[in-house]
Amino acid sequence: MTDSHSASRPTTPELQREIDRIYAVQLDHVTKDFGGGVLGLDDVNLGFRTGRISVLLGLSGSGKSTLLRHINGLHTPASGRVRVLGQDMDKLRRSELKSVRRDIGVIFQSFNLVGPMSVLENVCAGALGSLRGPRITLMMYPKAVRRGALEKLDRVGLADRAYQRADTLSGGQQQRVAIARALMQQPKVLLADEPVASLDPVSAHDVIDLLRQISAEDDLTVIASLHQVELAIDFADRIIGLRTGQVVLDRATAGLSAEETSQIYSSVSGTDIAEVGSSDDANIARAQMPKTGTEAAARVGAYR
Amino acid sequence: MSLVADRAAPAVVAPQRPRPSGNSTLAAIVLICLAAGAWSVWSLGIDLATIASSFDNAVGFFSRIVPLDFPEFGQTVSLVVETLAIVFLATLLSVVLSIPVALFAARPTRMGRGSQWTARTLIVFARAIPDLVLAIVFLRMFGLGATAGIIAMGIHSVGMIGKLYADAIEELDDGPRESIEALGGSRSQQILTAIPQTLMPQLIATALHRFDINLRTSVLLGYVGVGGIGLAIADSLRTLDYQRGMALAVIVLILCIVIELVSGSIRAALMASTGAKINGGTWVDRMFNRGRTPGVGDLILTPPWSVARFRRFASAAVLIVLTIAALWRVDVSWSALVAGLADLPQTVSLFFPPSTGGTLGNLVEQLLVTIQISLAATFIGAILAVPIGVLAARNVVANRAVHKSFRVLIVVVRGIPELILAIIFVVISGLGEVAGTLALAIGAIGLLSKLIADSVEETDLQVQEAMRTTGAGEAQVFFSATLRQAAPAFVAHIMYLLDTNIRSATLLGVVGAGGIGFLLLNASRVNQFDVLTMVLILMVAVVLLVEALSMWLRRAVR
Repeated sequence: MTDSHSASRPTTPELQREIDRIYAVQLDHVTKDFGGGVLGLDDVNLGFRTGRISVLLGLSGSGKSTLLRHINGLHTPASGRVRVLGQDMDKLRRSELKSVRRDIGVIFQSFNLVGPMSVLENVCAGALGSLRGPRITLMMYPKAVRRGALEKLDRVGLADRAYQRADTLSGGQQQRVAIARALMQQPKVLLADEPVASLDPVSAHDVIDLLRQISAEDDLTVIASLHQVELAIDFADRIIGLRTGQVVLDRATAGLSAEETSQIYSSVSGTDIAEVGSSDDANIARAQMPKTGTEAAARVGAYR
Repeated sequence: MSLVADRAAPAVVAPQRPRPSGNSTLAAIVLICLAAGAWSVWSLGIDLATIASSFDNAVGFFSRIVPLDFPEFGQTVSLVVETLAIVFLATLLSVVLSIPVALFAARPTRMGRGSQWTARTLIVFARAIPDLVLAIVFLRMFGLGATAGIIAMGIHSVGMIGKLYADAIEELDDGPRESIEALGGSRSQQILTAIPQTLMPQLIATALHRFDINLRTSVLLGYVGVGGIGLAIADSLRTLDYQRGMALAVIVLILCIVIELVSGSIRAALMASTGAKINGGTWVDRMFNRGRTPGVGDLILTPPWSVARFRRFASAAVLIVLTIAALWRVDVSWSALVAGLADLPQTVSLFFPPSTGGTLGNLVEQLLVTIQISLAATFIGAILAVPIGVLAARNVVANRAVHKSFRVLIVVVRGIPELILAIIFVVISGLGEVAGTLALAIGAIGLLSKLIADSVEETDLQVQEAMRTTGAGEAQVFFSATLRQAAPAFVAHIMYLLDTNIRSATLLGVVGAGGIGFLLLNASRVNQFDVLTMVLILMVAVVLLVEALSMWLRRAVR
């Protein structure tokens, strides 16, 4: 526990590159102060492995969204370091930030589609990061982009809705359109902030299945926040519990017993803190211990 | 106990007693406002006796205006078309000016704090300077005719349209814009992708609303030499030809009501179509999209000619045609425009330095009269308009016939331009403050009642339901749920009325309804432009004071 808090950073560029290859997203002593003594994030140290699905669990206000917003630079930390795809987010210039964001797809709880715009145009908007200049109608997008968008729509099963207004779709369909939009970026990392919180259980499962399938097919690093524990266990390779901006739980989902599941409930909701003690935490951390030398070095660099 | 648990223990913060809100200050200010209103009514000598005694005048007036002398049909159409063309171009100009101003002024789209502040200030000043004054300035610059009126109304309207656009942008869901930001879109991409289509219905509705207002203003601008029906009315009344003047006024009245109804129905259609389904086939789809089904199989990459797309293209075409037609009709003199702009420094120098014309006492006295008129008119107007507005709300009065007929009353009163009311009252109760006050007070029914009715209808019905389930009577529900929810809106609307009335009171002075407006007109007639500047500075100061007061009140009453 103690050494994971020592801020020794890897010294050689080779080592750093190796770590960047293994961990798409790294958070190093990240603290976010919202002013008035409110800590959005409190000394968070996390490394997200490339190609894995991680789920952040926690009540509202626990810091899940804040954490996600740090990863694509919508928030900047008060202290600490956020490193995404080998780039330190706080050291980037505006144009560099834009190019990193192009590699990070984001899915929102409220879908954030432009309601009166057609479904296809909404998906095309996903390519804006790599296009120059504003586009105010569908016909202003290059033909290749429109074709790509239609293919992405087909992938999420909504090609027949291409020319319908986005706000005439159901919630589950809108979220699938939002996923198609994110796919237009050909992202390496996909962030999903409560992607199914506004959906009914059936649509929620559909969206989660779709995300899982896409993650596997495109080798995407997915970081999602959820508040349904079963859905999270079903979906993720790894679960991270947050409470008042602190990491209170971190473990792999493989081989969870029913008892451990109920412990996750209580640790995340904060009803029974004692049951998920540091010994458990340490065990989990040990279970995830790296096997190779470089990974071990990475661990010393405080990336769990 | 573990380290994790220790860290997780939340810091204990003692519950803070909320600071007492400024209730006593609020009550004092409201009382002062009410007292000022009542005092103004009393000091202007408005009482039932005065109104009753002018009854004979009214009878005399009506005997002088019948039979109404309508101009021949061709001339009427020509006047109406000229007026509509001026108003159309003025509104279009103000929309074109307002869009960038609003983008700079709104928080999500601003370029920086400095430019946001500048844009907000521009909007406030555009509102504070009456279009009449702007018209006088521009008439000096560009000569008599439509150009000055178009530019004057176009600039003054930015005060309302720019503000409403900026508010609308701020009220939009920021999510879509943020999602474009998150995927690496540039600032302009964020704004132009997320905002235009979402904002379009509101954009058009606001423009139509302003069109109604500018139509009324254009009549007034006739008095200083801008063309159209207003000029014809001013000419007839100057020669005491009441039969012709009132006939033209009736035409204006009909025009206003027709335009109000047309724009109202367009606005309603716009609002209804947002969120409506546009998929599915209509005859338009069948005509343009024979055998087309969008899908990835045949890779159709152009949107089909849906009703919505057809309507978009048709509207754009109509807008362009109307603009060309209006420009052609009012015959904007481009050379005068350029010459006027070239002479700008010289024109500006005419207005500076501000001068009192040697009668500061008189100026201040007349300014106070104008303030009294607006206070009294707001006071009487509120007394008349609040009950009417409440009765017109369909969630207060269940009887359809009752609330509908009050709605119709509001529309009819709204249709009557305040200028026409002022002219009538000037003739009935003689030149002076009483005429202006009564005209504005009646006009308040049109403006305030509608706003009151709308905000009562906007209250959360579920709260009322909840109260009913506890066994509260209808009156209890009204006072505890409906009125309480609508109270902040009431305050805001009444302050808005006061704010409008100060400017209207100034303008109505032009037709002899008392106050500083008459001095304004005189100063411009004898080319005392430096006095005009002085009057303007005084007025802007008053308007800004009222604005500050109303902002404070709106924050206090929540």
